[in-house]
Amino acid sequence: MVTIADLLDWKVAEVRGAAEYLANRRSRIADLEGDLNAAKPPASWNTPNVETVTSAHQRLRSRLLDMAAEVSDVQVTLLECAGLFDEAVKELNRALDHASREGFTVSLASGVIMDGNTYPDEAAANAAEKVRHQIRDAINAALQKADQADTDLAAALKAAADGKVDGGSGSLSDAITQLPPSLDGLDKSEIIRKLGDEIAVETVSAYLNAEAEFMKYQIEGAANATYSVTASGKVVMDLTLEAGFGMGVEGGTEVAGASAEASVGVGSTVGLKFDSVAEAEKFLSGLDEAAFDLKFYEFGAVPAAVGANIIDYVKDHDPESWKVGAYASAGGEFHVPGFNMEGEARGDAYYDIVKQEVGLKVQAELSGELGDKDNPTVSAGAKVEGEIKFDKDRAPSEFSVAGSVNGSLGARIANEIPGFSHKEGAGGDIQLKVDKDNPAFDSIVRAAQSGDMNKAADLAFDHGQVVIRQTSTAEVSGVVKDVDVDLGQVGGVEIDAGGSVTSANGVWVKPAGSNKFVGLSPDDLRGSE
Amino acid sequence: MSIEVVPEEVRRAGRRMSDVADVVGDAKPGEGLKGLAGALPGSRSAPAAAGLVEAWASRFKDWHADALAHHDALLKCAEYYEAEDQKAAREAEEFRRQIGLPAPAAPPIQPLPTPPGGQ
Repeated sequence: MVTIADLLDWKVAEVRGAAEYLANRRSRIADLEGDLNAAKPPASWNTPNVETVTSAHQRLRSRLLDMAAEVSDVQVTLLECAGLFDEAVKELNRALDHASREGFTVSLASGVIMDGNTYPDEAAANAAEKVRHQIRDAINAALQKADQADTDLAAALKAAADGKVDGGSGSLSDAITQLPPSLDGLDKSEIIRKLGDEIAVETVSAYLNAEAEFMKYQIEGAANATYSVTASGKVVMDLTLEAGFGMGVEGGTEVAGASAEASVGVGSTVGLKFDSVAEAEKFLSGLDEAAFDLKFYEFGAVPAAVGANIIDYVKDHDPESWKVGAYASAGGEFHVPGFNMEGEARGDAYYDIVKQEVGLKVQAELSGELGDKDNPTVSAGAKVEGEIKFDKDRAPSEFSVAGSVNGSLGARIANEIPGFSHKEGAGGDIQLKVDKDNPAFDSIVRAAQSGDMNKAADLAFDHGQVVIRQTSTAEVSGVVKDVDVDLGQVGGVEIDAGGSVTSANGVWVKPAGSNKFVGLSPDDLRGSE
Repeated sequence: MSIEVVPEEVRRAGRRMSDVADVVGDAKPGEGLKGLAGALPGSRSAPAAAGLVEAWASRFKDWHADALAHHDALLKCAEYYEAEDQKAAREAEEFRRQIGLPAPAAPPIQPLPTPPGGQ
């Protein structure tokens, strides 16, 4: 068992560095497929001794497949274990800090927690003893997490050393397809819990158009809500409020010393989370009523009052994010370090008031050349859109893009994932996400900084988490309803609403650092909550 | 049975194997694991990593050597078939002389076309 002193001494960055090194070696080896095939005895060689030469070539190939599989298996294990080590160290430090605050002394070698305090009575002593046990349990949990990850890593290293990793008999790309240890040997429901909780099984897109005349004021506004019902049963909503609803942030907001301007009248997007679909629907149905809940003294400034009502209503629902449109530029509203925004090059961006993050919007084309690097004939891909997030210190923290699967990308995915159809009429979408802990993150940021978003997206496909959904969409016809606003001398409000529902028929996930897609049944995902 | 080998194709296959051997020989995946022993004191992974560093060093070195040997063998085969081709050509020439057949005529040399607008 790992001791507290050991775990505090572990250098997790070295483990990540090793994973990054092996990812590089893995891709060099996988790229040899073409050369290895070209090294086969030529077809013109039909003397009797060619069989000996061919079988010698096959033996070399088979050994290289195993070696490639070993490198890949160790790489995905290192990456996953580095994440678990980090978590364990953080949990341990939290428990030690807690112990220190309580005046306890923890032996870093044995883990024994000494309480040198004196207590006025038995009840106080018992309460302290309870806290001491909680801290002991937290320390043990952290050590066990580190120990389990260490055991998995040691097993993967030993299996590779003993030549126990089978590279199969296919291509080098197939051989390097390895799952991290956390998914090896898991049953379906366990895999869904690990990978599927955040995946949208239903996405509802609803719109709300309002038109109203209040005396001399004409109000036109639109709200678009897209919410996803995830496998965990939670609902994640993006509510976009267009300019007509008078949204915006007055004056601009400071972001690490620079100002993120968001003009009044520019739309904003609010991120909300609900525990159920019913809660989300209740929120939406309350939105229009709240918007037009005007007081008599607000008649002099109706549009502003509608905007304020919406802001108050949304604020009451504890939004997780609130993105306001902004521009990124070199000398202008805010500067994103390393990204060339000189002169005319102004990037579309947003500032998140709640998370205090900056997001730079990006567009890329995801190459159709996936998995098999020897097929240069397939090049056109699918357009994806997304963002690079920057934290409070304006360091890049996440790269994510999403888009529809079409064209050659659809064909390639269909090739890699049996069951995925790219035929006309079959919808599909792809989401890629890479966070700053991923060994490939710096390369992705460098590619994006140099303006090569396509390369950034391709790297994200290779190293990040990829979720592919096969979907079908049903339109919900628009309905017009009158909202009765009791304002005496002014008329009512017409609300036009409608939307569409996109359901996942198939879901495939490639965990970050892995290169294997795991199929998850949408029915199982729906039933996992 | 017809026997036909194009030596240049055999040689080309050999050269590709040599290219693969170079990449595999230079890959040295174990180098990336050398820091793990110091990074994870008291762990099971540290000694396991040291074992893998050694195993990979010899496995990749052996593969590199065997692939180069395969390359050498292919080049030798190409040389052999080329020599056999030349020997067969010499024997055919000798036989032609013995039976007094005239030497095959060289293909006529065509004059180069004048480029449009050229001198």
